[in-house]
Amino acid sequence: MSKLWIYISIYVFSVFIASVAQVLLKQSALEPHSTSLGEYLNIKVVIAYTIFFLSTALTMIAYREVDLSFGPLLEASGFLFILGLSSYFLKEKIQRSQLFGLLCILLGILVYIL
Amino acid sequence: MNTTEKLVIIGANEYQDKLVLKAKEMGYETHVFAWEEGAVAKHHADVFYPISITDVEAIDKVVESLHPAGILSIGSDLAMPTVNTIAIKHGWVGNSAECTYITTNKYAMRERLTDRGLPCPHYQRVSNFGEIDLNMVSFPVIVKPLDRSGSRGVTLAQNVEELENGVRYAQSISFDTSVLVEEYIEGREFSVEAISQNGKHHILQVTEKFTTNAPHFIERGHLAPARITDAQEKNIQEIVLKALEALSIENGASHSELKIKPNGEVKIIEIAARMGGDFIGSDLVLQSTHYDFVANVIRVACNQAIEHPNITQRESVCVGFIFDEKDLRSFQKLQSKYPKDILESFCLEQLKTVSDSSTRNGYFIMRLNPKTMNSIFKTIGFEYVPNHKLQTTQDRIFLFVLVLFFSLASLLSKLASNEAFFSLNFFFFYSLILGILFVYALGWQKVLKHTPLNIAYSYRSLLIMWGMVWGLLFFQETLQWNRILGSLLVILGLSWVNKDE
Repeated sequence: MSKLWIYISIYVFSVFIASVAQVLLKQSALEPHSTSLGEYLNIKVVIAYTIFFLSTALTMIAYREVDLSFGPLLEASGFLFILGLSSYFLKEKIQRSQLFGLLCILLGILVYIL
Repeated sequence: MNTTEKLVIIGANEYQDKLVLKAKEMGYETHVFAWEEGAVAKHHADVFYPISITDVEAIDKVVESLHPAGILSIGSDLAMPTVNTIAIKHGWVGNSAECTYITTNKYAMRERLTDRGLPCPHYQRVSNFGEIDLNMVSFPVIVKPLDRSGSRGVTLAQNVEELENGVRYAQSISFDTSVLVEEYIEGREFSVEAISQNGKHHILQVTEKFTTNAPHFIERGHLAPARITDAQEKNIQEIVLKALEALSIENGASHSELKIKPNGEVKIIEIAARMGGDFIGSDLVLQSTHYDFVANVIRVACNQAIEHPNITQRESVCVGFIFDEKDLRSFQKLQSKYPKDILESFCLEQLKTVSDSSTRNGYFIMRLNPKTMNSIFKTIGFEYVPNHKLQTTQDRIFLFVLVLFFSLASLLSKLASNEAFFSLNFFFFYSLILGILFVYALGWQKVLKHTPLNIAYSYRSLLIMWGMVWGLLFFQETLQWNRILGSLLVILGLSWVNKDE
């Protein structure tokens, strides 16, 4: 059981860093860039894509123990991070329906592991 | 600019008043022609001439001695022949006589557009009810006068009796005795504002229209920009650009009305070589795009280069019209709830019965955002279109296939996880996965052009289903009750997270 938890944590961590990368991409998209190349090749975009590569590799490792049918559920936990990060860094407002949705997702993940 | 330059304006109603004010702001001396009755712009005009806007000869006699920089009108079909006849005679900027005829006569317009292969409803022109080829009529049909704009004289006829009444009603409103009987197009209504200079057209905005529906279709309001997908917008723009060419519109504003049928097909209802009325051209375009449509139409008329419409962002703005007490109460509710968002409003003290667009009792122009739109539309009774209705079957199939393809990345990840870390096989799978992610990212970009983000995201719930299918098929995973329940809860959660508020 503890081994499974480690791999689940790896999966969730890979989802977390991918969410950070998403927020970096969004931040970069919101900033003004002098050239169109600058929109794609700036430090935030480069870091974001590096994180995506890393996250993909971590997911592959996590699948050693995590069931294939469980992966997409853990993937959904990304919304927890996306909403949290975007409300903190991008000052986006969280709606009540989103909070309810998150609760459902987390509950769903718990029920699956039962 | 020489500050003493004169500008001739034909028409003086409330709408033209905005033109007069803008021209004065730009430093022109305004010479305004119209009947005195309802001539709101009279008070702002530098010189007002109480001459009917259709009296070309009398207006020309005065204008000749003025040597103005240009002549124009923004919101009246009736004024267009006068404007263009005088402009052509003196070599000022306007549209040709041919263009004026086909854009002010609905039958000639249908003939030209159909002739050029542009999508229009089926139609017949008749001078009395007896002339109608009833074998060619498939009810319901629309009956309208040939030469009036807005909703004046328009009726929907469901049967022969209503058709007969409709013809009589249209004739009573029309200057021409003929009327147009045409196929009724089911679907959402839109209008497109464009500006043209020397035959080069720029589309500024697609606006969504709300009407009272059958039988008279009086405009209840408009929303800019319209709630359509990028693909629908592109399709509309292509059709409008071809239509402007077909109608020989070369200079000034144009207002094209279209409908999108439930199957996505676009039909041109009519096109006018003037600005859209109902505050669309004068206010909604400016508020939404920040492009000064009125100022640039003046520039066209005065033969000056227009500002290039470089529109990158569009804000949501709507205009709503007050018909009765209920509308007035709804407006007052909005006024107290969103006082900062009301940009302009007016209402008569004594409400009258509304018979067409010219007898509505008041209006309000207000700013919206995605969060307030639903509640505002509910208050004023405009149809709320949920995002998923904007999608076509093709878009849905594409998204479905794309998500299925994306799920292969998880399948490969699981296969790769059994390989030794950093082994050759591991890298083989890793590159395959990255390839899938790359193709998926391209597909996703394409999806977002056609589908709102939250709807696109909701399709990702399918990944859960595919995960189960692949797990069952390739890895002997089992389907226990808690796994199914857990998955369903996550799918429910995802739909809430992506909910359209």
